[in-house]
Amino acid sequence: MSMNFTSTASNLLPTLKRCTWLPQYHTSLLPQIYAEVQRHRETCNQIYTSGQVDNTLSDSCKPILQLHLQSILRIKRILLSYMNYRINRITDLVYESSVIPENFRSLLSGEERTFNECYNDLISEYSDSIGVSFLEYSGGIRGGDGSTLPHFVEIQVEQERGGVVDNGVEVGLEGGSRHWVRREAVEGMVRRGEVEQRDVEV
Amino acid sequence: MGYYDIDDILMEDEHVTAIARIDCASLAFLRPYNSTNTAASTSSTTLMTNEKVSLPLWTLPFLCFDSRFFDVTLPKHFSDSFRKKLDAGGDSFNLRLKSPYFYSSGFLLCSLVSSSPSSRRSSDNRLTLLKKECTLLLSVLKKTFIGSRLRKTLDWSLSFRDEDCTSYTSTLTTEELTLFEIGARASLGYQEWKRKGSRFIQVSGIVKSKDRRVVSPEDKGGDKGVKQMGEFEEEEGKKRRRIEERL
Repeated sequence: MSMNFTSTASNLLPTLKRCTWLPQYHTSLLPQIYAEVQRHRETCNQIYTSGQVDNTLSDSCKPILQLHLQSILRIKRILLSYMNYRINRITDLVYESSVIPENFRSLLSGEERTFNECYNDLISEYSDSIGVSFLEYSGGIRGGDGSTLPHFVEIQVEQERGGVVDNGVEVGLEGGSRHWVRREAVEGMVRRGEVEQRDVEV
Repeated sequence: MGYYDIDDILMEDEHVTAIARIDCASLAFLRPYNSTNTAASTSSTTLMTNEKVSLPLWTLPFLCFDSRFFDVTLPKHFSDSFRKKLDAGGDSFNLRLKSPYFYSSGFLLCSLVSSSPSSRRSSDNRLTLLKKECTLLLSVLKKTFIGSRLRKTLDWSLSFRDEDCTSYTSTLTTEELTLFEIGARASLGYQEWKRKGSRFIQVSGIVKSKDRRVVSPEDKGGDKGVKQMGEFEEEEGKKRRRIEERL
């Protein structure tokens, strides 16, 4: 028996910190962890039943019983931390790139992908309802009267990207073209790597 | 510290030495594998009184302090001799070798000892001595954390540029490394801002590390009503002139 009762569950956490985004969802380890919790539970029942002396639990049985009980709570904490960390990374990604890249998608479980889609829809719905886009940062320089001055950036389009609407005017983004557009019109595309901002200040 | 904090959970897996105060059934597996304790029968599953075992920090509240089944002793890196060395000058020590969570585990031990309900019983000499040691340990930990080590860490993090500083960061504890990374990010952000201004839009880190995905024009509805290239150039030229006039 291992000195660390929660050794199986503890293997989940170190890999989280080592990855740039997220490791592969551990579908193989989780059933082992659930089985470990069941074993702790059964052992607790056995100890409680067999350790009774004159209808009270003997003192020598109390430490091992406590150890099993607290192990279950610790495993619960580890699992919740694991899920919490992954969920936070997935929600942060929504603001960087509204679509998860395909190679990242394979790292998620089915439920996490569903969560990502639902969260994305929720944010879009809320943004539409209040008229402010949370997924496209609308920066700009505040004028003295509190108005936001438009800020223009020059972008280089490598591959055809359709078009954007800049102040009511449609700007086509053909491959190999350069355009001066408002920052907020293309900020999302630059952050997603679809177009490149040229290093020219206005 | 938080319930979901991963560093806290990993820190609580660190081990300390404890001595059994009563016979504990089914806990013989806690004995070190090279135990030479003659009082213990190798075939018995019971841990006998006064046997030394190694317990993780997360077991201390219910095994050592709430219920006095075990007496805990401080690890060597929190002992009196090492404390004196730290007090004399702690910035040259590789604390990571002693414990990756040197400060957090020390603070946790001190808080458990001081908040233990049993510590209020003056007859419990061992615990009273432990409490005194923890009071001294707490002051040394605080002094070491905010002393010359912190100054050196911030100095390195704000000035290392593109140099390889792993020879220094490999000696830092996890807490110090976190501070170092915060300082390094702030320093790099400042350098970027000075070079390119706050207006340069940063490409998402995730996209930078992977191949760019191809978005078809249909996704953007770009084929509908898009004008010819020549007309775009004309419009772009007009826009540029308007901008120049404004400026």
